[in-house]
Amino acid sequence: MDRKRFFIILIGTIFISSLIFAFTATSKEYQEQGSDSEVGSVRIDAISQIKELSMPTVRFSHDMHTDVLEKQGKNCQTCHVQKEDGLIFFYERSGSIQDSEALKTIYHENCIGCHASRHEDGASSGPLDGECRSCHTGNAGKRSQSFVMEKALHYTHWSSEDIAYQDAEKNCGACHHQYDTEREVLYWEEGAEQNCRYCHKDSEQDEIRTMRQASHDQCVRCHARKRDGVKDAGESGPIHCEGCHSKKAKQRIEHASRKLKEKMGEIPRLERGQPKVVLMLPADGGQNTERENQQGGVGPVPFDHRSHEASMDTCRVCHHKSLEACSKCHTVSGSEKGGFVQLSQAMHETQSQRSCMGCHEQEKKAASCAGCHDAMPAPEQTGESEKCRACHIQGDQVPSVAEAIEMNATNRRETARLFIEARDTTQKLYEREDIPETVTIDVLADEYKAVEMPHRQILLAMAEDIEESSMAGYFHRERGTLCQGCHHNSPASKDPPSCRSCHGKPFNEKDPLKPGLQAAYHQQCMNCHEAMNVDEPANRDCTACHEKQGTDEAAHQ
Amino acid sequence: MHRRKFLGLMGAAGAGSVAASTARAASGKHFEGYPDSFAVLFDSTECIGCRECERGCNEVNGLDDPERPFDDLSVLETKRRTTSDAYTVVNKYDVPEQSEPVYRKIQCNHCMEPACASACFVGAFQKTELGAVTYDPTVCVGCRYCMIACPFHVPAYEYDKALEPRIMKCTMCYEIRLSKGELPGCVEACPTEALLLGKREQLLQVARRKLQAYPDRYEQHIYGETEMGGTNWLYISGTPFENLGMNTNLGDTPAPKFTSGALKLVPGVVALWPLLLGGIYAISRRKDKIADQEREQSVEQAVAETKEQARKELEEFKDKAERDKKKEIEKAVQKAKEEAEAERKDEQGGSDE
Repeated sequence: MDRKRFFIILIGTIFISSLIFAFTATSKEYQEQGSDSEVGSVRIDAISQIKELSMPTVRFSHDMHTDVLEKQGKNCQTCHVQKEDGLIFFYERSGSIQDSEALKTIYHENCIGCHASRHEDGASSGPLDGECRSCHTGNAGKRSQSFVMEKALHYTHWSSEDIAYQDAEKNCGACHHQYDTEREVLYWEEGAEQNCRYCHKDSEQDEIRTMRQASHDQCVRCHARKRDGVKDAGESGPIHCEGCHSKKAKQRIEHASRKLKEKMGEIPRLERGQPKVVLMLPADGGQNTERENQQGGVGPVPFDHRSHEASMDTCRVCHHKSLEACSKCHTVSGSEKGGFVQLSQAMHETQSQRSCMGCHEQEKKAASCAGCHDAMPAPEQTGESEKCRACHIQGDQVPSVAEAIEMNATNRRETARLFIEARDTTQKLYEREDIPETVTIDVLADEYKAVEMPHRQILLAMAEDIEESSMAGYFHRERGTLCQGCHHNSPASKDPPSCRSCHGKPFNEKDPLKPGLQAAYHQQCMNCHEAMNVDEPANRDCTACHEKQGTDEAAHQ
Repeated sequence: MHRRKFLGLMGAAGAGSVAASTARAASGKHFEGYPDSFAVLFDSTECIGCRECERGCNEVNGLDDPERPFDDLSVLETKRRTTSDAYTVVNKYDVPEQSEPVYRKIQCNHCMEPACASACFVGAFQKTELGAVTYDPTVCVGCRYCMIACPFHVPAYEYDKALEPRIMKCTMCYEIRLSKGELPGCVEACPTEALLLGKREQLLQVARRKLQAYPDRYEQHIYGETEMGGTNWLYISGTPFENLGMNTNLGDTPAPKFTSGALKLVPGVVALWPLLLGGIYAISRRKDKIADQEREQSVEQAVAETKEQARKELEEFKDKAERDKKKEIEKAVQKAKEEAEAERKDEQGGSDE
């Protein structure tokens, strides 16, 4: 009797555990499928624009389908509609549809239809009717890299013979276009090219395709020509998602960009008639004379447009709405067109990434700069100071703002060019022998021994990091400017005051913003090391900088 | 007592407390702290997690040696809390999207209106004018209410002591240093001045100036400025305070205010309840009395009715007996008469013979 019961329990246990195993095994299989599709897959959630989804979204492995279809000798038209001269990169439809049932039918009939016909032929196929959750996994997947059409990539496109546009010198017209509202056609106008995103927004507006649709229609359609056997298609770009939107793709582009720079010395500009230099004025055409006079006192700014182009990937970094002069929208007193952001704010707002000062602040966060600049308080924009003079020139030779307004454009640019060429963007540093080699910090030696700080080595290492930077070269205006990174709050000089001349007292609660000597040393060294990613000596490895007192005696005994 | 009567009492008490809470809301007074009280400002962006503050605290307060020495930084791998042997501990926090970990020092925050002091019924805790919250072990009865009351989970108890165990917590080194014009042990030991001692008002200014001068470095909030009505230990950080395991949902109401409404009722209860209970008792007494009277009446009535009936029955019985008697007499008379008649007839017949 007991034995019988034991066997029943045993069999029951085996049965239940095998069931559990079966279930966990199935779900694991799905997970693996999901994690496979990092880049190269598309989330299908078109219906979510219309109504709340009743099923989880579909993660569709686009690249896998592209490959499989190619092996079967099929092309993009298997899934995408051919229209006029190209493909439409919607699935099985020629435009956006606002009917959820129709969308559902399109996907279900075509996807499952294709799978089913392959299944009937005895070939391996994707999920069939009734296997809902094999497609509807709800797996959001990882966000793919956004693609940036940077200058080097731009160059390979506009200079390529494979996509020569009419008889033009450059192939700009192959991609860039304007829209004629009367004739309802696209046309190209030389020198009027804009950034795609100025018209093609993230969501469809005024029947203009989204950036996503426009770029895929345009780029992939052209890239696919070679594969589709078009004659004289020449070399072609990627047609897989991975080709543009993966980390690898990004690295590939960066590598190509470096190679191009090495080969040509400089990546060619995106020429569309923009100036090389600009004499920026706190003026927008004499509309606000009073304010202009008020602000004119600070002097005009010769702006090196060309060198800024060289350090940016795209024009959009600064020209965020259109490729016009900043003062067109950002007028001196602010206008609706410019979102009531005044010209002075557009140039000086430190929290914005697009303003001059905001972008420069951002640049200072790079590891080679952050050691000194992180410790510096946010710049204040109250009143004029010597710092303004780095951009706003003044002097006998400098035309006043009023005079500059009167000049014609050529003269103004000529003035700007003269001042920009006169700029010294090389690194300025004291002679090697003038920089103390070591500094012994022994005033606090107590529990720990004195520190022998390799003063020269530190300074030269910092200088080497920024040697190439013309920005640092220009804005570090004196030979002692780099010294001021540590020897702060005192004028640049060959013999700056030592730390203890200000941080003399060990701790003074009456002046708590000024650290005591010990904290001044520790904060300065440690925060700089952290900001510049210097791992050795570690913050808490005390003896890496100063030996513990008494260790020598202990060793001798 | 009957259930219904008890509920009645509860209702009456409830009405009283509602009245009390509206009265409290009307007073908007908020204690801004003692004017010249000291505070400590902790800047987590300067803290390197070296545990020197722990050592400083331990030495100054003469606490027991820790299990592992202060330069053993592997201790930081586990999250610790304050104990009876450690008034202060430093914990390490891995912050998302930041390669370097961030450290936070934990100790008593020296609330401006301390929860521990308001929970203590013997007044062992005192908020001193210098800002420190001190503890007097001589009056402590060891109830540990303070440990439950503290919103920061700071006070610790000497569970390992059989005799006279004490509550142990940071006192801002009030007696041994602060009141003598010296820095607290931890502040003095900090090699990077991640801890600053100063007047609370002044430190708030310092903190604000730091937040303003380095807007990208700091979260724009001073923890402790308003938390639990304000504390005399202030924190600034480069990462949201939740990431440092700090409770950011404490609100700005001082702990004592949560209980003052209920506690204000106590005198009222003491004064009013005898009256209330007396009244209810009187009412119930009167009810009982009336009931008694009614019962007596009904008994009397019943007795009277019974008596009446008995009397009636008796009378009926008497009547009947009398009637029976008469009948008997009549019968006897009749019989006697008949006998006399028969005798007389016999005498007459004999004579005839």
